[in-house]
Amino acid sequence: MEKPGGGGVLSAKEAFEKLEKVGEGTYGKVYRAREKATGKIVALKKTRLHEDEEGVPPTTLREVSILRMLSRDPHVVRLMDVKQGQNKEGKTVLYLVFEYMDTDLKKFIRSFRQTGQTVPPQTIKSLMYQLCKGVAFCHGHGILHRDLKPHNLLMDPKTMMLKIADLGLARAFTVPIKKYTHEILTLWYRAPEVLLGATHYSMAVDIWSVGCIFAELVTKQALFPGDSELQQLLHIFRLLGTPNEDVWPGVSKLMNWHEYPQWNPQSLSTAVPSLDELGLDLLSQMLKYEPSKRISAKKAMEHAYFDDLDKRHL
Amino acid sequence: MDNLLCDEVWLSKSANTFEEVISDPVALKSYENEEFEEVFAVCLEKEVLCLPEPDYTKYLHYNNFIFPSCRVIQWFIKCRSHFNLSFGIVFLTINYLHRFVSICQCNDWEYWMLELLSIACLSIAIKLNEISGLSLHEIQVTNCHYIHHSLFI
Repeated sequence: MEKPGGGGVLSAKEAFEKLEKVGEGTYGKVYRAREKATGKIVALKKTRLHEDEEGVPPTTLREVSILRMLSRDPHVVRLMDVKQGQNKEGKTVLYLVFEYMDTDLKKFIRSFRQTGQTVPPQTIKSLMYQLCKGVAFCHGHGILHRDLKPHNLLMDPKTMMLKIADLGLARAFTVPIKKYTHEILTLWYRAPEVLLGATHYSMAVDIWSVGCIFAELVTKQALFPGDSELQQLLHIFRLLGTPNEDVWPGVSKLMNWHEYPQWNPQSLSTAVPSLDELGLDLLSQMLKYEPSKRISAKKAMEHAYFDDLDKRHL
Repeated sequence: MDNLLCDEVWLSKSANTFEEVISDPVALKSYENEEFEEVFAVCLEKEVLCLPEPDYTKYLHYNNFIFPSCRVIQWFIKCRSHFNLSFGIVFLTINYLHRFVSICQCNDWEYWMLELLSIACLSIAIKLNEISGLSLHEIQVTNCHYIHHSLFI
């Protein structure tokens, strides 16, 4: 950022022309905007500072800090700048300036659902490879995302490039974790150990989300669409079988463990019928109950499912 | 707010704590040692980028910064025990403070400025690395000669 006091510093209002509101991030509105100096289209994510003058919220500080570290990777959305501005009431607001991406995976999948077409298998493979690569980069830098879902995966529909966004809840591995805020986060991509109240997360929570996204790309429907934490667990148990100490040592000691209806595991092919053998194998390794048995993002990139993918531009 | 990022080189790495141990040893079994070695190398690389400017110790002596720095470090340690913060917070707070002083080297430091900076650095370290926050007022009650208005921090 430019030094304070320099005559060339522009406030957010002077530097950008807001074009339209395009959505809501975890804690703030997102606008499409044009940078006046260059004509470049960007995304502005607005964060209003607290009334009590406690400065920048922790989620924004973390997001900026983490994105500065991660934005070198082509599969993480690029944070270009941080700007201060004022809203109509004169309150200070902070704008995170991101590269603009035309769409997200949620809209992409919905467009196929509406036309009744399936997502082409090679497109699924390419998107999944990019997702694994971006997640591997985050994990390789000690960062958990913790909120991976189609809405947070931005896409350029012309190039089929995919980028991870919305790292406001991301954490360094070593940072203690508060329980999820129920109202904000969708449950569908949440790992079973989180739902059962584990307090020590690992990279595996993101891999579970990746697996759910993988299945959704194939079927165009959420794999586990629960509407409460209990229903979310029951959705998972109906497909993968109710876990026990044999398949998941330690599961009965988790805080939210209770007696649950007993289901036997079903084949994943019943849930994702059009996925081939290699894809089903990769998916099964992403959806292991025991977190330590789940495949890592880096190992997933090496899986045979991706062997016939041309990776030169990814 | 323009100083939020201390004018450090854009896309530089952020500080990280190393002290906390993953408490579930089972979680480590399936990951290759190779991957952990890579992550560790990345952490070492980051550490170099989070150091103050060269010749910083000379600057500290020249500006009589050593003793006041020790006073604020003592205060950080007192805050750590008072609020039951992690030890990593003390490390990070000191790191932020010295990185800031290193980048914004000027010759007119007064103790109240250092105190104000200390409060800001501790607040940021808590926001980035603790589950629950502390208000700026709570942070100050343990030591400061007078309470700085939140707006000025």
